Amino acid sequence: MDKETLKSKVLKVVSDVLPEIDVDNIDMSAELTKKYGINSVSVIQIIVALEQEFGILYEDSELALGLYYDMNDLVDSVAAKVK
Amino acid sequence: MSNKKILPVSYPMITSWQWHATLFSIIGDDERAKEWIYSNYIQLRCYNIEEIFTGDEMLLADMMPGSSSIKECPYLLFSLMTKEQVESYCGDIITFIIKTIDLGGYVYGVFDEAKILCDTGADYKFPHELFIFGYDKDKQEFNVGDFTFGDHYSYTTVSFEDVKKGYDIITAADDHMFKDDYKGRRGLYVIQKNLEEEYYKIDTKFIKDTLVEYLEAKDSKNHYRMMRNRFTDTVFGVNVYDAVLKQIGIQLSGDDPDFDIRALHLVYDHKVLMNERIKYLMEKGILEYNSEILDSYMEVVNLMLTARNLLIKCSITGKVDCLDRFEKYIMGAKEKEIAILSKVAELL
Repeated sequence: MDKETLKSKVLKVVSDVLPEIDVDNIDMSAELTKKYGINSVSVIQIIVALEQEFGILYEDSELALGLYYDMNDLVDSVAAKVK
Repeated sequence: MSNKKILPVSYPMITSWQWHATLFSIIGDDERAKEWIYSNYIQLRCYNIEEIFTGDEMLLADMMPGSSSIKECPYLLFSLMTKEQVESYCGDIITFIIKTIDLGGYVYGVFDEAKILCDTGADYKFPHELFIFGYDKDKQEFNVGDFTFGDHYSYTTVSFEDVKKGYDIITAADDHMFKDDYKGRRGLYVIQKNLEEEYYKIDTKFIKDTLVEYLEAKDSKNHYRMMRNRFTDTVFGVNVYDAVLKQIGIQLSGDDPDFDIRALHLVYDHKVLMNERIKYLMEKGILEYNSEILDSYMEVVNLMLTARNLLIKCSITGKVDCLDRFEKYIMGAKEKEIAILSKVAELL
C-alpha cells in the first residue's frame, strides 16, 4: 500500500472515531491535543479502530498519547506495522 | 463592574479526583505552593466503599491529603458557606457565585450534573462536585472544571440557568461533600488564593519520614487523630498496588465486566507527581542530581501509564483476558519503585 492510500485510510478511521475532525482540511503537522482535542482516551479509541481496519496490533506500551504528536505520527505508526 | 471575569487556572498536573484537580488548577503552578505540594501527596491509601451512584462496591484509592486538602492547604483561604448563608447574603446562587468570583473566590460544591448536562429534565440525579472559576453575564454562563463534560478533566462553560437548576435540586442528603463532616447541611466551599506570604517551606524530614511509611505500607492515619478519628482505610503505601491489582481482577471477572479506571488512574497520577517531586528536589539541591534515579523512575511512570491505558483499551474492545499483563505492569512498577524510593529516602 502506498503512503498516500495508507494516509487516506488512516484519516478515514480518525474521522469515523471523531466525526468532529474535518479530515478533508486536516493539518498533518498540527498537535493532536491542541488542534484536534484528542486526549488519552480518544487516542486509544483511534488505535483500536486502526487495529481493526488494518489487522495490526499495537503493544500495550504504544497506547500512550505522548507518542503521537501529530497525524503524521499516527500514519507512520500504522505504516511501520503494515509492512 | 465588568460583565465578565475569569479567575486564573492552569490545567492540573494530576486530575484523578475533583479535589486534586481543583487545588492544582488554582495553585499547582505557584512556586510557593510547590513547597507544600511536594512535601505532601506521598502516602497512598485505599479502602472499599459503596459507589454513590450505582451502589456497587468500589475501591477508593487516594493520596494523603485527600479531599481535605482544600480546607487544609496553607496556600488556600477556605470558607464554608451553608445554603442558608448563601440565600441570606445574596438571595440566589447565581448572584452568590458572581459576587464570590468578583472577590477573587473560586466556588466548589455539589451540583446535580444530570440537570446540567440534560436540560430536558433528567429523571435521575447525578450529584458531583463542580469547580466554578469565571462568569460571563452577556452569555449568561459560568466557566467550570469537571470530568463530567468529556471523557477526561476539562474546562468548559455551563449556563447560569443550568447551574441554578443543578444547585437547587440537591438536598443535604445528596451533598456527599458535606455529608461526611456536616451531616444534614448543604452548602458550598469558597476558595481563595493565599499566596502573598510564605507559610510552608519544603519539609525534607517530613518527605523522608512519609516515604519510609509509604515503602513500609504503614498506617499513617494515626498522625491525624487530633483532627479526625473516623477512618475506614485498610491498605496503605505500596500495598495499594496489590489492592488495585486484586480489584482489577474482580472487575474483569464475571459476566458483566466493570471498567472503572479511577483507582488505577489515581496510582498513575501518584507516579506522575512523585516523578515531579524527585526532579524538584534535585533542582533545588535537596537531592543530589542522579540521572539513573530519574530514568528508572520514568520506567515506573510508564509501567503505570501502560496499565491504565490497557484498562481503557479493555473498556473499548470488551476483551478482558489480560490479567497477566496487568500483573506484569503493576507488580513491575511496585518492585521498581520500592528500589528507587528506598534509595531516595536514604539520600535525603
